[in-house]
Amino acid sequence: MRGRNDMMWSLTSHPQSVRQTLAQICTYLRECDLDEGQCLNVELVLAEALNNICEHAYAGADDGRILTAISCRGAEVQCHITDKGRAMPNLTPPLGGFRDPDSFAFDELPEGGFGWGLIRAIAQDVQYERRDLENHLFLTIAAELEQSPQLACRLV
Amino acid sequence: MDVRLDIEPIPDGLIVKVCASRVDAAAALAFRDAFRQATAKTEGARVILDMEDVTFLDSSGLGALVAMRKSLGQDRQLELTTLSPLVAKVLRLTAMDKVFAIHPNKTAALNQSA
Repeated sequence: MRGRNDMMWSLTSHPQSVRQTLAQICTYLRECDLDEGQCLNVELVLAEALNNICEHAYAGADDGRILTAISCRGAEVQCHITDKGRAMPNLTPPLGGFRDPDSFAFDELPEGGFGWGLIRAIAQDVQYERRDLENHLFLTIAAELEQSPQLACRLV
Repeated sequence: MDVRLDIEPIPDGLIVKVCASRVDAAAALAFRDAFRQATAKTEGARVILDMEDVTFLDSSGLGALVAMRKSLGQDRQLELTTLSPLVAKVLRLTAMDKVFAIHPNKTAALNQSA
């Protein structure tokens, strides 16, 4: 039966730990009756957010602790991610945005920088707070289609 | 993480089947390096990456695909087949689908010449 459900995971700032946690979260989301498309949307947003914490907040150290709380409210999924790493620059999550690949010389095609644009394209809401020495990231992913590319700050 | 690539020669190049379900931050570097190793000594103009088994690709995986595209050089093409919905979505949202030739399935890819 759908309703309010909360679960929390503790993981470390390593890609393997992220992968294992995402698998457990997906299992949980299916138990909350989310369809496969919605599960994949949440998984992608969380993968990007958690990978950013590993690379930037914990600067590649693999022993940083991360807490991920998931609430399923009907088909809307709310995520609250906490870490004790470095604060976001300007205390603001990046807007992301994607340049037209035709605007790059072949050898300069980008191999990174896609994460925040993907988060913004799929999550309906993104909030960030720095509390004491902790980062708190709040993400809301609803069941409808992802935001159109125009709203994801697409740059040409 | 181990990413296995199965290589099959075709008249004008190679098909590389990705034998992994996730191309993510844990697998991206190994994936890219395995691909480079597999294609370094080959010359055919077409390299087709069969993504049928891949159900999840994040921005790290996308970065690996772009690095692989660049490693082939401009005279060779990197073609992708059988993209799952999530993989297709990542390529579409980032506009990086323009960097690759994309086919719905292996048959369609093979029916087309370079």
